[in-house]
Amino acid sequence: MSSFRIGFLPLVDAALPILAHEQGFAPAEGIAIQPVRDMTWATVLDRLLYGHTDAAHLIAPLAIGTTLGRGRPATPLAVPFVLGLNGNAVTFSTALAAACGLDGGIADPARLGQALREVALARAAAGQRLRFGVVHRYSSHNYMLRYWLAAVGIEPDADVELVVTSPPFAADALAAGDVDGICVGEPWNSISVDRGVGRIALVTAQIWRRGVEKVLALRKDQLDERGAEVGALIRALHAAAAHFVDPDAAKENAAILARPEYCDAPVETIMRAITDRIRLSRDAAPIHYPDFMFQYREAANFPWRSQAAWLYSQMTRWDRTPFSAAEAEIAQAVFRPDVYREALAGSAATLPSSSSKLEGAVTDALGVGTAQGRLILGRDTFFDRRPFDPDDIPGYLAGLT
Amino acid sequence: MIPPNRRLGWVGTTLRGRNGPVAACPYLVRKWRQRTFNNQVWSYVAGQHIQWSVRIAIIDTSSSRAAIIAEGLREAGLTDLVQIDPHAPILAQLDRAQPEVVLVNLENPSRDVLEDYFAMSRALARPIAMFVDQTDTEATAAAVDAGVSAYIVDGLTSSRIKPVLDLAVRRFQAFARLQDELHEARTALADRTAVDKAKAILMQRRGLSEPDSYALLRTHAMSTNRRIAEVAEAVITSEALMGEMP
Repeated sequence: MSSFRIGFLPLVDAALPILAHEQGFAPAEGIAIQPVRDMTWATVLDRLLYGHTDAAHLIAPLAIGTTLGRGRPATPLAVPFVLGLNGNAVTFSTALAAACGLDGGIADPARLGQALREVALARAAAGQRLRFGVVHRYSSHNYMLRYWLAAVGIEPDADVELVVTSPPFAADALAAGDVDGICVGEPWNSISVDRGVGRIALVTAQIWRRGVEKVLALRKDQLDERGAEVGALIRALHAAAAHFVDPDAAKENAAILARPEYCDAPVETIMRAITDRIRLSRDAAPIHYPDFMFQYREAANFPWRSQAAWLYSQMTRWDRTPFSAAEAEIAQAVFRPDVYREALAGSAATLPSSSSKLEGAVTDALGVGTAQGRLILGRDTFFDRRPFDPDDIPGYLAGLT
Repeated sequence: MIPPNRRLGWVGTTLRGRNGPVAACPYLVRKWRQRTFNNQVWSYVAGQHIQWSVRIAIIDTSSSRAAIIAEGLREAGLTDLVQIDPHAPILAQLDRAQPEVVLVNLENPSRDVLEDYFAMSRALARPIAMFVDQTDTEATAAAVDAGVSAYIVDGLTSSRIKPVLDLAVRRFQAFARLQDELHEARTALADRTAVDKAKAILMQRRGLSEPDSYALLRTHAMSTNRRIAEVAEAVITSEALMGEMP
């Protein structure tokens, strides 16, 4: 039986490879999955690049950055499957939450942004800039947080300070007062809340309703060599995704993910994340926020080239490198809808006919063409309602500054 | 000749004379002035012999392993070492040290923070992640297998990185062996203590001689396909639980 060692960090959104392994979806496709847990993205990436693992649960921009050679010599990676959309949050320290006047309910991103701007500018004027932790320079967390900050008039590299806090250490950093806020995946926001050191200020789904999150990344040469086996892996992960959204399976899934060898976190905390029930502060009752962690439905696991294009647009924006059409093409080619389609052809899975779409342009449910007919896409907007056209990145970037 | 884009890494490199640091290298010393002696590259500059020194920082969650690596590098003549204290702010220490090579254990929890620091670094010679193809493929793969990761400033040629890396790998492996031996020694000691205790119990309970007690443990271990120490542990446990029974 062919085997895939899959690197991952202790996060709820590592669920699909873990469930495919634990719940028999992998053996059903004739493959074995061996999860390999690490504590930093750097180690997950090293193991993938040097062949300690065959695939990895990875932050999407890091797959693109590695292919483009940002921060290290370029190595082509391939993303044939998206492990889910959103599921992250921005958590403020309790002090910052109070300073921004956060009360019981879920905050409005624009209004909270104005409150945060006042606090941030006052702190910057006093020479004590607010400090936010993101999980990696090349993470959707970094880009989502920066997108929101910039849009509400906070210059991320001047008015506040952004530092890196790896997911398993994010809650500790908040507790120690090293940072005033974190943008991280679950369960680390909820753990901060349960420990009484943080208050969830926003969920990233509020910044971009259908934001691309973790991806399955492989070395491109591995994908080329092991095409058929990768197809089996994609089918196993897709079956795991269908299982993940089954409400009857939630309890068992949470219990598996909570185990010491995976997230090593309380079952109840994980249960909240996978059922879209968010406890904003320690003494509050969980509230239901639909689509907090988006999975399986609306072809959520389909690797749209336009998602990679948006991430690339943010990479040039925040690395302050000039836009390059050649780089944009390389970045988009990291996402492999062709491999996804081939693996799931003939199955019940929804297979969009197009590989790219306008991102953030669906304000009401929209039907798009698929191999089997119409796929209804739900609202996918950014909080500022600015749509992204993957064919006009320079125009989009010009509008943002 | 060193390619033009590699020159920056050399300018500013600490130069060492026979009696310690001389100065930061003010200009590119032509390669023909360099001589290799005792594994070290020397140049004749401004009337004196100076040594090209590579400053290596070691960041390791295990301070004993860091010490073992440092010792190995020093023995090989790579003496410009900075051991980073993992309990103090790492970035401030690196900022002061300005190393050209950073060795870090693969699973160090600070690695994402380190990479971000290197990416943001405004220093002329910015360390980047070491990679296969950049140096010797086998050397790099061996390093990662041994659990070493490295960041190296652009401009250091692979011939200068490889010895550092090879040494670090050997030292990492040596450390792993030491750990294994220590573990074995501890297990052996624990085993012997357990067997002695079990023998004493059998001698007292069943009135056996010491050799007979040991023979009984051994026979039982063989017939149940267990280690003698395991049988001894079972005897001790049962004594602890049933000790009061006649």
